[in-house]
Amino acid sequence: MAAIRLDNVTKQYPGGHAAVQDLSLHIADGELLVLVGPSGCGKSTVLRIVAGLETPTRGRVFLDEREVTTLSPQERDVAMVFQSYALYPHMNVRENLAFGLRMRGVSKAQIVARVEHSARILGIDSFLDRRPAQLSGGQRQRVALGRAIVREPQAFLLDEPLSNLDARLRVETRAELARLHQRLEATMLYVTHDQEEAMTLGDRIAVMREGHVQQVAPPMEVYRRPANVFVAGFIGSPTMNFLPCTLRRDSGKLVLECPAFTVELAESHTAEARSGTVLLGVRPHDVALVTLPQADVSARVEVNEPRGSELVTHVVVGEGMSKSQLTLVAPPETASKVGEQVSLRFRRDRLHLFDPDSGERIS
Amino acid sequence: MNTQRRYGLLAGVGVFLVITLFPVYWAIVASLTPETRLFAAPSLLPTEIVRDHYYALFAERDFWTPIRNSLVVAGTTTFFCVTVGALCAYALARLRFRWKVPILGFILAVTMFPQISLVPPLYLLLRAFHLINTYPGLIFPYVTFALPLTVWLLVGFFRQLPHELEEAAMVDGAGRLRTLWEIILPLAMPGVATTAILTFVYCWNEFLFAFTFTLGPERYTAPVAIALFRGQYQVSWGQVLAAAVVATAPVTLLILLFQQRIVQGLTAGAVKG
Repeated sequence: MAAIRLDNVTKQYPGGHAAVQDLSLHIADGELLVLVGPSGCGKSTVLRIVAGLETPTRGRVFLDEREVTTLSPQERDVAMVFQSYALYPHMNVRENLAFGLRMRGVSKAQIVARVEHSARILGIDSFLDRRPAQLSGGQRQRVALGRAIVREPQAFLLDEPLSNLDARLRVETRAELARLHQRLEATMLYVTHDQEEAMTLGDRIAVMREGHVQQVAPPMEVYRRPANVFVAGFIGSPTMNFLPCTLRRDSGKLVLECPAFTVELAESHTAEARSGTVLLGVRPHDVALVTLPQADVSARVEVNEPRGSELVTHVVVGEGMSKSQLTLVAPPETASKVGEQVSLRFRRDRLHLFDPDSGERIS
Repeated sequence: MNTQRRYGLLAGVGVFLVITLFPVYWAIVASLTPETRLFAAPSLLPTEIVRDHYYALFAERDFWTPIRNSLVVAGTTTFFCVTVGALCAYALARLRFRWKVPILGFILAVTMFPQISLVPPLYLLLRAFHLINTYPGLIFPYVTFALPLTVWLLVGFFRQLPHELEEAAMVDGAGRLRTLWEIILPLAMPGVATTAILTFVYCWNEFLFAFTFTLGPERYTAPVAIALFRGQYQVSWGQVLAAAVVATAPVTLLILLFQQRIVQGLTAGAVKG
C-alpha cells in the first residue's frame, strides 16, 4: 500500500473548461479518502488523473513518493473499479480476475492461488466459470472488486462503484466495502456523489465543487464544522437551514437578529464573530420542538414527512417580509398536525455562521 | 397479425424468394442438363442428369487454376486488408490526434474514384514494375479499393465498444496492442468477420482489374475465365453455368458458415458490455 499525493493539479480541456483547478490532496497510506461532490465537480477527473487515464495540464502526482504524473496506467500499479464495472464480457469470472495478473507476468500457480483467495473473500468462488452476462448486478460488482483486489496494488481507485445497485444492496455493499478496507488496510480513493456514502465510508472526506476542493476533514468534522455554505448544504440530510441574519453586540453579549426571532449566542461563538450581516446555518436535527417557555420562536407546520425512524417537519416562521421556511427533524412518535402552531428552540452550540458574500465559515 | 395479412406477407416473401433463387436453381439444373437439351427442350425440372459439363470444366479446361488464382488473390487481399485495416481503424476510432477527420475523409474520397478511370494509370504502373500477370499485380490494386472499405466498416464497429473496457485493460497492465488483441478484437469479431467476408466476396467477384492485369489462363481469376469460355463459333452454356456454380460455391459456403456473425455484425454491433 502507498500514499497518494496530488500537488497543484489542474486539468484544462481544449475548449477552455477546467475540470480540476489547482488541487492539492494527500491520501495517507491505508487511508480511505472519499471525494464527494455534485455531478461535474471534477471528482472523477481527479480519479482518472491518479489512474493515469488523464494527464494533468499542470501539477504533479505522486504514488508512494514516486512521481507518476506522466506515467501510463500500466506503469502505475493501481487498481480501479469502474462505475459500470467494465468486466470483460467475453471472459468468465476467473479469466476476468486473472487478466491483470497475466498482463503483469505473474506465474500461473500464483494466479490460481490469488484468484481463488480473492474469490473466497468476496464470496464469488461459486460462479468463477460464469460470464458477466450471467451474473446479477451485485455479483458483477463483487467481481469488479475482486479484479482489483487480486492485483494487490499500491492503491485502489473506486469510481462510484455502488451507484448502479438498488438502495438495499447499496447499503449492504457499503458495509462490505468498509469491512474490506479494514481487512486489507488498503489505500483507497473513493469517488461518489452520495453524501451519505461519503460520511459512512471515509476516514476523511474531500468535498469538491467546480474543480476545487472545499474542505478535507474527517466526516464528523465536515458535518459539525463545515468550511463554507456549499459544504454545509451538501453534507447532511435533510439539508441545513439557512437564514440571513444580523449579528450585533448587546451589553457585551453577541445577539443574532433573524427575521421573526432573536437568539443570544453561546460563549463559543464570541471569540470569532464580529458584527454585521451573516448567514445563519442550523441543521434540522438541531432544531427541537419545545414547550412555549423554552421557545426561541413559534412556527406553523406546513408539511409532515414521517420516515419511520424520524419525522421531518417543514414549518414557516414569521409573517410577511420576515417569513422563512425551516425544516426540522423530530422523534417519530411526535404528534404534529399540518397548520398547527408549534414552538422551536435552536441548539446554541450547533449554530453555524457564514459570511453572506463569500460563503465562508465565520464561526 | 390477422390471417389475411399473414398470407399476403408469406406470398410476398415467396415471390421474392422465387425471383432471387430461380437463377441459382436454373444454373444448377442447366449445369446438369446435356448441352443438346438446353435449347432444344429446356425443362424446369431436370429429366436427365449428366456430369459432362463439370467433367469438361476440370479435365478439359483446367478450371482449378482460375479457382486457385481467385482464392489466392481474394484470400491474400482479405487477410492483408483486415490486419492492416483493423490497426488503422483502431487508431482512428480511439486515438486522439489532429488530422483524424481529414484522414477519414481522404479514405472515403479514395473509394469514390470510378474503377475504370484507375485502369490506365494502374496498368502503366504495374507494367513498369513487371507485375502484369502476377499475383501481386492483382493484390495491390485490390487493396486500393478494399482497404478503405475495411477501415470504414471497422472504425464503426470499434467506436461502438465502450471506452471503459480498454481503460480497465490499461489499468490492469495491458498496452495498446495487447488490449487490441485480447479485448477489442474478440469483442469486435462479428464486425471483423463481416468485414472479412464482404472484402473476400468483393475481391472474388471483381472482373475489370482481373481482366485487364492478367494475360493468360495461368493467372485468370474465376470471373475472367468464365467470361472467356466463349469459343469462336459457339458458347458452351452448360460449362459456363457449371463454372458459375463452382465459382459461387466457396463464397456461399463462407456466408452460410458465418451468417450468424454477419447478422450480428450488421445489426447489433459487437458488445453487450
